[in-house]
Amino acid sequence: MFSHLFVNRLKIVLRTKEVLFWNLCFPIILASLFSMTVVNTTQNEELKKVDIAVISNLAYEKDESGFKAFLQEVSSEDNEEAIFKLKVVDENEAKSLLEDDEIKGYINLKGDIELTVNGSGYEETLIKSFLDYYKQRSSTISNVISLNSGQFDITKIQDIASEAKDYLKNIKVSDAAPNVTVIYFYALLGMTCMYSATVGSEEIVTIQANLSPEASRIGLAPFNKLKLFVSSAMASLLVQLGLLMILLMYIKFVLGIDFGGNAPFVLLTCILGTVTGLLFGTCISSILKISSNAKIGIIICVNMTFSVLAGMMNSGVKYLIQENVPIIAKINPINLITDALYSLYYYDTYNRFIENIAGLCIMSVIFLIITIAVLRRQQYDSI
Amino acid sequence: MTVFKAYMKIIKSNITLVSLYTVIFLIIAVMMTSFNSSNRNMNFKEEKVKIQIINNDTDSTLVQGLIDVLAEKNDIVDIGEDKESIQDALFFRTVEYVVTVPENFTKDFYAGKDVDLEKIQIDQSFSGYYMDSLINKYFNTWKIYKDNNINLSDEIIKEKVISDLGKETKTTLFDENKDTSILENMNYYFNMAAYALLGSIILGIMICMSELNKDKIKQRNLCSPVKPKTISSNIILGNCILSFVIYLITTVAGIIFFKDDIFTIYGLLMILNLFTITLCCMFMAMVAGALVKSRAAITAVSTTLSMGLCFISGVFIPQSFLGDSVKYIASFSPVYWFVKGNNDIIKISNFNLDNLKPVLYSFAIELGFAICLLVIYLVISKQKAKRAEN
Repeated sequence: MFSHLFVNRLKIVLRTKEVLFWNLCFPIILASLFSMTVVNTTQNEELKKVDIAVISNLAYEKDESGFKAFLQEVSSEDNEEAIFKLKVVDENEAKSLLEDDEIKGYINLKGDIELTVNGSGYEETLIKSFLDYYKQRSSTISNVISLNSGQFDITKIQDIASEAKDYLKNIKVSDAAPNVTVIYFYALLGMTCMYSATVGSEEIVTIQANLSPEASRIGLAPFNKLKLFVSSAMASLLVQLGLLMILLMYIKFVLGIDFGGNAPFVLLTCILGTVTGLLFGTCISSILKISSNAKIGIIICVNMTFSVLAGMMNSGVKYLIQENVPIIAKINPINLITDALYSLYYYDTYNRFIENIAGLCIMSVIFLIITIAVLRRQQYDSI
Repeated sequence: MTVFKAYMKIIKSNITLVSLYTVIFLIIAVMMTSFNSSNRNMNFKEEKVKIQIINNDTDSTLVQGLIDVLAEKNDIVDIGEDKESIQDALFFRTVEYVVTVPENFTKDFYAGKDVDLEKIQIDQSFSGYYMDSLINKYFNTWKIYKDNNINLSDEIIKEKVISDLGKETKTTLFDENKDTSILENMNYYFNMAAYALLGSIILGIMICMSELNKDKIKQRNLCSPVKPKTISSNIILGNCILSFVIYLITTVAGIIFFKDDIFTIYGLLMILNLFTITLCCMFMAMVAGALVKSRAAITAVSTTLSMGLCFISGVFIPQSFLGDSVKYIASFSPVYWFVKGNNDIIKISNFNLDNLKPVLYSFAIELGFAICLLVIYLVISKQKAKRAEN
């Protein structure tokens, strides 16, 4: 009887289009979107030159301090490392270009270097950083010359101006560097694990006689409800895991996302996450007395919320939640799955991983207890 | 108005689900906006980076100067020096950059040896690049003084280096009355709110239309002495009211969050832009509602459409960071023009026709999308009506 129920449930779940969509197609679509948007922003793309202008006044035209030469050097078309495109214009035209967003900032050399910008984004920051660097290095050169009481070898100025050694060596504190992009994919995997809640919800609908005609018929059979639940749940779990494995392989081999070297523990996390999701679905479904579609809707909404809070849309949210409202991070199952996967990727030891797995186990047990407590000893009058 | 009343009844019976989407994602939008305002690391008012400095060398003037320079503009944290503490701190972002001064660094630096400090940082972060630049500038400047002024004491060199590194370019905003941080927050909120709006409107409209388009219900309606046009207009009226209510909720939430700051030309333009995208969402939902019948598919379509369009259009990742190919694909979505419109609005300093052109252009494209989607909906409805007659 167990095998009969198991096989039947397997067939039903495999033929349910919603299961295939939410647990395979939708995550693959999202993973592909992440790959297009998130990953590509952090790869080495050709940096676009920033458009700037300098006001062509007397101070600039007659500049002998080297600023004019510096500007021309960092914007020269012959310079492969040039990062600016420079226009030399009058003040009114500079203001007009800035207003029209054709340049990101204009420089006015009147005594001191002044920069005018129309925002505070990345390009504006870059222009300011370059000008600060020029000012700081010029100050150093002036000080060096004056400290040498005018007996300074002028030919050394070029060497001083170009002094730019790198004094930093990158050290890895773990095999994998802390990386922001993988959080998106781990949170997506967490969300997919929790989407097994939709199938878990359907489990309850097919068991509870007051929720569906199928359940009423099944309720007539002389079969222990717990065994019925276990056989159906195992079939659903098998399907979920199969779909999750396909997603995992897509993310790892097609999109090239690193999970660290611990394949068995990654699988363990996915299995436990799926079990937690399934039991979450059964718990929600047994508590809420609403239609099946409404339950699915609520489960999806709650899962999306958990995913957002675990950093699936913006990885910064995860850390802000951790810092400001850490309790939410602890009770969010998708965050626990994300952290478990991230700790496998990042840490050499398993302490953090075990903490998160323990959290998932506790949640699963709580959901299971609630489900059993609601479902047990329910009988229906024969009328 | 019988169909309209039926529409309202359907909404009422599904109010939990639709309002759950709206409320939850609006709360997330507000939360992310308030968190985002304290977490912008692209701001040219440089954000403070959480750093740890581990000194394994002597407390030389060279090292003390480095600590002083780093402490001036950043938050120095002490998270422990052992590997596990550092790992944990980087994992939980209680530190973003750890720099270690190795033993004998000062001695080797003065001897002209090739020495390095060790750094551990979050990969591919702006804060990391900023710290690298600051530290390298410090040591390069110190070396210049040391190599060219042999008799200068370390204390004087430290003083000079700190003074040099403190030199900044005087930077002014083109429009000093423009509070860019408030505008950027408003931009962020309205972009996030568009996601809540898109998801809720598509879900709500598709649920209602799928119920009213069920075969038996549709057949009963067609049997009635009410013109099909009247039935359609009742449904469209119901869609308009639902969309407008969700739009109002989103706008009111923004007004409560931003208070007086939203009653500027910038805020009002963004509210107008939100209205335009509401129209697009409504017609998009109507097209989807006309094509999708299954109740199970409704949640799938609404979630996929809202999330997919928002992701590629620059709602979650800023448009300036998206690749050209992604932006090209996204330009076929009205949400892309909505986000672009908001980005253009905050750039304006003087409100004249020339400066408003890019914004009006985005509005026009969004309205164009709305009209196209309405036409598609009418064509689909007509086709279905013809098939029903045959």
